[in-house]
Amino acid sequence: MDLVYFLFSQTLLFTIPLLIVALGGMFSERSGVVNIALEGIMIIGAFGGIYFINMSQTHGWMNGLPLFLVALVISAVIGGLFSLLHAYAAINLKSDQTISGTALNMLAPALGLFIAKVTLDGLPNVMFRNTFRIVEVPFLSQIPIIGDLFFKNTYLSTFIGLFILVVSWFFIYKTRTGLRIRACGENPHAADAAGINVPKIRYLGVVLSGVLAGMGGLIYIIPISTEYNCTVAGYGFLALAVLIFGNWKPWRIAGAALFFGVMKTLAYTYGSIPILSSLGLPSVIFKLIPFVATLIILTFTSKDSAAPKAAGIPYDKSTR
Amino acid sequence: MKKLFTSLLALSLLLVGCGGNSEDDGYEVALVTDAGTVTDKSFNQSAWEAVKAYGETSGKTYKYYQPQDTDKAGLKATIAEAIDNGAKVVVTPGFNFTEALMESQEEFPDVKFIAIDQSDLAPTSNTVSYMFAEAESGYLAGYAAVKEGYTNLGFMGGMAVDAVVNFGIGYIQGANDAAKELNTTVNVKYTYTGTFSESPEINTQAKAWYNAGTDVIFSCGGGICNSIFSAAEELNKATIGVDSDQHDLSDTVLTSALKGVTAAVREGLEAYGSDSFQGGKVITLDKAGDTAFPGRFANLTEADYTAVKGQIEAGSINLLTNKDLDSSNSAKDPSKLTWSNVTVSFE
Repeated sequence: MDLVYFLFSQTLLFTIPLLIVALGGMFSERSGVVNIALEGIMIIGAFGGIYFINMSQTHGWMNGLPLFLVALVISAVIGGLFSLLHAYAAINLKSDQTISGTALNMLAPALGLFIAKVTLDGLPNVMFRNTFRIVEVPFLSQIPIIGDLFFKNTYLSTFIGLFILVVSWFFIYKTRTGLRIRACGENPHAADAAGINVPKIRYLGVVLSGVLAGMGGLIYIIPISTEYNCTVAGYGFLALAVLIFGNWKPWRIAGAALFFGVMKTLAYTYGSIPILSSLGLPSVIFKLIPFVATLIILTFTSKDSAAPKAAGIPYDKSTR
Repeated sequence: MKKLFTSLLALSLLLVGCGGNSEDDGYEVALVTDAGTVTDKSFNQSAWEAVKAYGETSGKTYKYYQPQDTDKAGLKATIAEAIDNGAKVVVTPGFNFTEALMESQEEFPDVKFIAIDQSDLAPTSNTVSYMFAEAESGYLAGYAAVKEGYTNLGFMGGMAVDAVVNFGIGYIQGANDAAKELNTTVNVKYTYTGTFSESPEINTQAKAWYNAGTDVIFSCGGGICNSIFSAAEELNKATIGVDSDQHDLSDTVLTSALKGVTAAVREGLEAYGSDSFQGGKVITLDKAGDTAFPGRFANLTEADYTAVKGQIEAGSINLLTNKDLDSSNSAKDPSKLTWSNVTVSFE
């Protein structure tokens, strides 16, 4: 049973950042702006948060959960601001969204390393101590099974991620602004004719994706390292895959993120799982599973793909 | 506004002019860095420390050059730039330089090159190539870990390059010999992560090992230590560092398997300065291979440690290296060798 709890907590380590970033991508794409800059936004958002944690831990400003929350807010704000560059290029300048997204991906690590080198004694890597793990939540951890799964050896980010999932679903499907975002992604001309300010709604979509991707970057790096080198190892792109796999819908994105999380976990822990290790398969097989499974599932589900129709096309009033 | 810009431009030109090179004959001693910077706590930093120290004591001018691209063309261009800038001796640390240096050493026969850790390099008469006996420090690390009382060991290497494989095989052999002395058996989990930087995958794998009973993991590959240290900190387990003494990076670091990059560069530069440069030679620095002792050992006695170290220095232990692996063993899987007291599970 301990093994199950361990595997579950490891799965969340992969799932939660993927979920949050993919939800961010959903807001941007459903408003009609393709956002492949998720990777770059994660990098710069995580940089902001980790930089603050580093400062705070050296100077003793704060620690524990308050520090985590403040760092998360900083990551979100910096991610949001950084995504404005993409929004400006994609919406005001009507540029090719793939190119401006790529530009952000290239800019982010360089900018982060530069700031770190100039301000931190010439060191490009930002050190931090992970003091944010919650060993046990009082009372709630006593609940059988659920207590062990969710309330022991966990991070606050797990609950933030689930909260964001519910709020995202509510926001995109049950509010007026959500409807407008969806309209701008499907048929911006009709939305414009109905009196919706398309550029404004698209700005909202892109900035929301920046906020969530920035947070996702910080949540990604904290449990897995002791220093930050301005890289998130392609998880921004993986989140894009999760977004497509999840068919641009919040609950299916959650399912896709969980699927990736479980597969990634099995690929790297199978040696410690008696049933799997006794199979004697080469490790490559397990590492292949998530990608092969993605290919197969996408082949079968591509027919009812719900990609926003106007995603990637700059809005131009004069074309009909 | 225009005026302001013009004056700013003029001012910046003036400042750039001030910062320019005031030496007439350029910089005699040059270090070209591998990927990363001279503050990487690893190869580049160790080499730069030696270059700086030599420059200060000998009074020779010195400078480091950081290539924009660390592919073959980028490294070659940077080496040429250093020579153009007056370099008479160029230090190139890391196996990444092998291909670039093969050509540069022939293009510039009047310049001396000091190659660090490039096993595939055939040095010409103006190049001296330094190698390290990684198996020795790996052996000491494995021996010390078992003598400390651990019986479940782990090894995570970056990639299956010669240096990493040597560390790994030495580690297992050391553990095997210590287990023989203690009349016990030891399990070693062994893997190559395929990368030299941190990732959640490595973190997960390390935690899975620790959860399945592994006591200590030897982190052998640059940045992967970040993810392994973080796993060990969370689960209160031990780690072993590599290349430089990493004990201040994490409280979990028991000891570090050292690589004497600084010593090699120092030796090479001093030979250059005293005109005893041994061009064309491959020199393996064995005594530079060591582990950081006392580290955080609690049970290992100094007598035990110095005894086994003495045996290595005297050459009375026949150390295995990557050359002892079968040539068909392309995965560099050491479980294919026969170990009397160690069970190796290769992932």
